Amino acid sequence: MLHSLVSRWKGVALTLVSVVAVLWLAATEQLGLYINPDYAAFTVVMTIIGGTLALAALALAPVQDDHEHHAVGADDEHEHEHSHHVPAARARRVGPARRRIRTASAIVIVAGAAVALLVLPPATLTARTAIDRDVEVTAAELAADAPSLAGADPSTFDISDWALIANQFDDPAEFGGIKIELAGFVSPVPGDPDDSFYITRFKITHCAIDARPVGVPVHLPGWREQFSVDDWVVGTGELAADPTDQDGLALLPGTVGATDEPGQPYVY
Amino acid sequence: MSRGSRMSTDHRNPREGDRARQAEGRRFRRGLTATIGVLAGASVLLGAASLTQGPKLADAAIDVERATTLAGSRLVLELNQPVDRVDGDVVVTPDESFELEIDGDRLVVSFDEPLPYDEAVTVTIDGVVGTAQPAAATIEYRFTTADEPVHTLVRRSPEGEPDVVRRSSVGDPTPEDVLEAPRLRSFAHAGDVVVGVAIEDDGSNSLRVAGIGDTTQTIAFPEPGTVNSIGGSTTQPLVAYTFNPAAGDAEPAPQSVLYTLDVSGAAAEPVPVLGPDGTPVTVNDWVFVPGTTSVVVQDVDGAVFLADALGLSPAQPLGTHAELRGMLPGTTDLILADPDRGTILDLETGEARENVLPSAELPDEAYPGHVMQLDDTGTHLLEVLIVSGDGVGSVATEALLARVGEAETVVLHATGADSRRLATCVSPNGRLVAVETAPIGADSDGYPNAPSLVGRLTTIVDIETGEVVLTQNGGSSDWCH
Amino acid sequence: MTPPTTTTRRRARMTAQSPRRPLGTIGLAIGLAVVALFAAIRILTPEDPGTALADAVQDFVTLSASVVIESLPFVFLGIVLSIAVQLWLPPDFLTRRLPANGFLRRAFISLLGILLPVCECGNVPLARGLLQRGLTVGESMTFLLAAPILNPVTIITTYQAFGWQDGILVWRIVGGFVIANLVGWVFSRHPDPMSLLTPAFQAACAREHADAATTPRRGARMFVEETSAMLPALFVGSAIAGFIQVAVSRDILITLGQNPVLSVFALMLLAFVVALCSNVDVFFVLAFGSTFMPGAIVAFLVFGPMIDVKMLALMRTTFTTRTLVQLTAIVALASAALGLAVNLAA
Repeated sequence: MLHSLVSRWKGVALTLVSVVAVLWLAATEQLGLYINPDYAAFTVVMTIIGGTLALAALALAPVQDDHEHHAVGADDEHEHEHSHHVPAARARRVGPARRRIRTASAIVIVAGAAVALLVLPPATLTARTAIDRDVEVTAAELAADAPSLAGADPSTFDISDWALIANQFDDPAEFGGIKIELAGFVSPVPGDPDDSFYITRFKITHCAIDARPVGVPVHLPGWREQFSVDDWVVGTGELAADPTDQDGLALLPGTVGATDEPGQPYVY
Repeated sequence: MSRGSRMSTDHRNPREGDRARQAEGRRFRRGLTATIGVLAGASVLLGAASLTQGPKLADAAIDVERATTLAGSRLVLELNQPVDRVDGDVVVTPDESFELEIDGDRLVVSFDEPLPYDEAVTVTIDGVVGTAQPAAATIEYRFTTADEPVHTLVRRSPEGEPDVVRRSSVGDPTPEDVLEAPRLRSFAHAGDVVVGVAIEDDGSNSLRVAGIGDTTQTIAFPEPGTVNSIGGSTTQPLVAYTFNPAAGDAEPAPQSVLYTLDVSGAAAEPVPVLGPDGTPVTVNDWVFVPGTTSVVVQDVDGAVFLADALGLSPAQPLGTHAELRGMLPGTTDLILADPDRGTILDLETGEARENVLPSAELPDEAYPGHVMQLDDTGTHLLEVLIVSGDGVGSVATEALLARVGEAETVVLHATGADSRRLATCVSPNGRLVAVETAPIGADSDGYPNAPSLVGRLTTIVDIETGEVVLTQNGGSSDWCH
Repeated sequence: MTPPTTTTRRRARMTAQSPRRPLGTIGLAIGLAVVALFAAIRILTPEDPGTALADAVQDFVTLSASVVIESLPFVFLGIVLSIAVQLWLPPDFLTRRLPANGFLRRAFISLLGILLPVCECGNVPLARGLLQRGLTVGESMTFLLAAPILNPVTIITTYQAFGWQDGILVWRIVGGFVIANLVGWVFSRHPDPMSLLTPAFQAACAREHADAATTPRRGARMFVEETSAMLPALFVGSAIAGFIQVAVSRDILITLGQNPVLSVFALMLLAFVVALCSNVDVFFVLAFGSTFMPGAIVAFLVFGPMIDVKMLALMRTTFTTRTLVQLTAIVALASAALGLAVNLAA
């Protein structure tokens, strides 16, 4: 009973878990934590269609098939590799132990999905991923698609523009004197862990898995006494030659203060 | 047995069917093995072939605008792999001095001086060895530097037509009129924006701004007065001018206050430049620092300070000097002159060094005039007046322009006998000079506070070769500020 | 042979009184109750768990969830299209209209993606549907491999990202077409194509012909089956992708990526693990565009849509492991050769 129930309805269960999770994220405007808001409308529409179909399937589909052992699953059939020439026989050879394993793993997947999508609160990526993905490398990569900054209006720059400028320019003259205010979370600068940190944001093209950290180095000796990694801060100041790292610019802060994580923690 | 295969073998007897099936199976396996083999072989060959190639250019970046306005501009050649070393030579055509730096997978060529305008530059780097492959490669990149506009003011009001600011460019000498007003005193440009100083009927001045939006904007001053000195930044969307309120009030208000005008967006308010004490000062001379929003200002007492055009940081004093002689082209090096010595002050580092100009080899009858320094070795342009008497009282003069270097003095340009020189202005990159002339005997146009001659002509001359690049009607080139 | 499942089936019959009759309103009520329960769990769980999770675990959950949420709409789109094809496309519609010559047939089939703009995650159910509609195994493979690349959404996004730069777009299209047809040709020579399929899928094929239920019920049943096949695989694949993102240092891949040979394999490996949808993977690889060679990017963009962690898991629902190994070998070698050739010429 349990076996057939699970193998038959796991897909619908996962659909409903995902549908509730996505629609709740959309309703609370947190879909942007996972995907680029440009895709939100499409995602919501398709999710509603999926949810409607799942409910319709519950109402209309037979409770179980007379061929219920044929219900397919990604975790099926690992036992058949060798009996290449007798396919008709293979399908039937599903032992009780294997059935139990299959059912158990399906339950684990559904439960895992429910925990990940329904129980755990939505979260942004942490500074850990920013460190792994190397803030400075991202800034160099951004240069590829950066428009010519000369002549642009600095007041429209977001943190990824400033990160690019801080990384690309060695001469503070070009952008010195422009007061900038940046908010982001704290991640350490690898070469200079005590005197500098990055004000970091994740830049998302499509979804969180392609998130690239962008950060502007802030020169503030002893910052660890005030903030810890992953804290959200707002820093204001001007770009100047980085006192420790001759290559590139750093924000010489006027003020750095703690702030709350914004509703929209990513840049797109 | 599956349905598909049974259909194909049903009509045969079982043994034949088995054999046929085996043959088909062999055929499939042969096809599969051959496909995989060919693909694997191709991958190995292609992989081996690409290992014998040297590094290749993946991307190159140079800001061609910055390259002509600022010294030290960088050509970044990004290769497809990190560079281990460069064994060969670097050749830049036309010949320019540069430095090569290896930074990971990038070769960075920094040009010591601003590059010529509208010039095709080829950089060839031989013997580039990457870390991935042992083979050396030649990296070549070609780019064309930005063109530079040439603006002149054509005063046509004596002929009953409005005055215009005329623009052509070094690469394209076809002129167009960019700003028109009944009477124009002077003008300056920053990028595409041209700001003219118009003379109103009562003799006071107002500003005309063209190049922001479709129509020319007028900026009137709250009190009548005159604009005596106007200039544009070569790199920033900034124009600055000094304003003298018309006399009449008994109040001893500061005269010649320097204002900056941000022309990057919609109409902006002029902002006064404040001295170190935070109040407007009476300005004797001023100059933009290329590549920055800073202005060097000298007040009437000779005190020199560095101010921010946007007023974002307080002014820093730079001491007292007799004369500001401008900036070395494209750099942050400020040329200062005092009666006993000349100084070059690097505004970025604060370092001062002595500035010694080589002396020109001039004939006896030559009278040296205005000096325009081109680089920190002291190479400069010198206006020279040759006065030759025929012994019976009549005196002929000839206006020459000479380039004076450590090694030699070269005459670049001679003003013809039928005209007289009014001004010489070096272009922002230090490669060209605008010589403004008027016919001998030309009438004055009689403009209040800023009279000039009718029929002015501006000739652009290459400082290296002495070639005439273009000539254009009008004068008052804003290269002079 | 007496299949052991006969007893299972009998037992199942005994427990549920009338297994083939749908639940009707009761089912709908159960569904709504489950939705309400899930919603209640979601709404009632505290928003801020404090620092209950280590950063790595937190990021793993976030990354995996983002892949699920990103892919889900495309999966639903694929399932909807697949059901539509199966319900309303007459059984012989495709076979009648396609050219008889094998090469031409496969060439036509590889262009079907233009009419059915589905991302690769949605293509497995669609290919399964086509297989049940009379396409041969080789032809369905051609469709499965070509459709993610030769579809309008993918082509447009690739053009947006790279334009004509380095011929990346052209090589992606040409490479996808050629490899898909090559694979189709190789497997079309198989003497016993049905043995390439998993037994469960063959059984589904067999049952399909005997199904006489009404259209809505068949559609509903297909939805149940497709989601049961697709979604566990999607969740597992996403979890693997998320895990590798957290566990493998990106530095390693990036260092490799500047070598003209290793970069190709590095990006193919990256394509394999990140398992992004083909119509969005260009935006991901654009981040590497400045550090990786064009050939590596082409290999990423050709190999990724055809083979990756998630796709293998999904394709396991249809093809046997042995078949997938052969398929993967051909696709991987062909993509690598293409990438190396582009690097050589670039």
